[in-house]
Amino acid sequence: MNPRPPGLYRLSRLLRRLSTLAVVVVVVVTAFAVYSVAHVRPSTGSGAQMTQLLLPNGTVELGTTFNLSNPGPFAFTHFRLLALVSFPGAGLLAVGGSPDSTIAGGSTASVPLTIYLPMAASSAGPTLLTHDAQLPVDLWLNTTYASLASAAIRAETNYSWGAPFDQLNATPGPVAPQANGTVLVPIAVSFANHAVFGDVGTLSVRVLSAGGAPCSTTSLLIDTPAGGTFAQTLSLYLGPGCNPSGGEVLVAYSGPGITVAFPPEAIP
Amino acid sequence: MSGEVVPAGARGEIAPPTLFAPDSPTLSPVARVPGLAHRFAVSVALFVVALVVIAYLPYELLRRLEGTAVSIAVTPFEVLAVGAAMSLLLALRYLAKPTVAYGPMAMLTAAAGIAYLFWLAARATVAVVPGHGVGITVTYGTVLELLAVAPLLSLLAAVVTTIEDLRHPGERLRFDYPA
Repeated sequence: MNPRPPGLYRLSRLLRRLSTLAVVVVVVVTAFAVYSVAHVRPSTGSGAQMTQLLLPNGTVELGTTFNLSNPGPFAFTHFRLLALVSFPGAGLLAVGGSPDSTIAGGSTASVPLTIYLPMAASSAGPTLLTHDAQLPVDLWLNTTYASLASAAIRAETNYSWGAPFDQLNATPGPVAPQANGTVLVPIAVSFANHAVFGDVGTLSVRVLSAGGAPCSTTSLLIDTPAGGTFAQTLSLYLGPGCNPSGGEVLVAYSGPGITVAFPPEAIP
Repeated sequence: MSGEVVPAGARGEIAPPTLFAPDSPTLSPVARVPGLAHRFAVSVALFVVALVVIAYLPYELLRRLEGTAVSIAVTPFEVLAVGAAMSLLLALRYLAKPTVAYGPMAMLTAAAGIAYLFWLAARATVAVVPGHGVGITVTYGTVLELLAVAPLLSLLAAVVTTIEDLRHPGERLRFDYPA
């Protein structure tokens, strides 16, 4: 029977065995992490639709949730979504994201993604109020799994923006002089609400003469639900000294916290 | 020649008696030290196996990934060259096991392993671009840094073996190659 090995030999042997054990542990844990992450199931809340909400500060809030089923034992840490929304031809329109989240192992989490479109403050705002658009979205997902590996996933997609005043028209009709010396200008205002929120507020209509002098102003309350249409003809009476021919019609919308002037319409 | 029972350190060309003399009173005076030819044959076999596992297979994998949607920050040639060097060190380490060169050789091999893993860790990024506007980048350097614990422990073991060889030459042969 061999005698007990000396201390230095045993120490060296122990270190070699620990070295082998370290390899085994790292390989097994990594393999298990890879196996676990293969069972992760991502999905978006309410399909691919985003909710829209017109905030009192004139900003449209776009929101969705990103659901992640994480059945494995390891956690996702620093889970973060970032969305960059562009407007074709005008560059970056809005930036949104989610809070920095941790999704524990064996759980399912819903991570909210919120994007704020500054309608009043943005140069593209008036256009987006009156025109549907396909907005390019760069979506980034960053996370670390099991403290072992980090991933950055980028997806390019489009967001179908529904304008709340799609195809807004304020079309002046034929000018009709009245017996009392005033001039009647009928103005047909129409639009379709393609947004998912209602258009509630005031539409003001102003007629300017060819020289830019204000001739007449009127306003009306609107309450057009999502998906609805609006069509109404307003009658504006101009004073004797105001010739609308060659002038223009200005329409502005005032809603909760937002006032937007639409592009002028010329009066023939 | 392999398996022959000889006094520890008796093979001058393998374990010089002046360094590996059985000076410890607790040691048996004999060890079954494989001959140089036997160790050389095993070293060649070890080299070939290591070359396949840590050089050729990664090389082939990376080569097949070239031109696909997957891109890795390490080139196939780099992996092949470093893997071949590591395989050679492993083979030489085995060849030198019964000699005093084993400790320094093992230290060199472990240090090279650590350096290789950290070099890989700095480039441990896989980018996958499957198309349709989707791109995935995975960074896994932490795995390789954790894996470097293994050669670090091997390095410590080699240091201890080197000290043991210097203080008690030939002492370990009886246990590395029991009769």
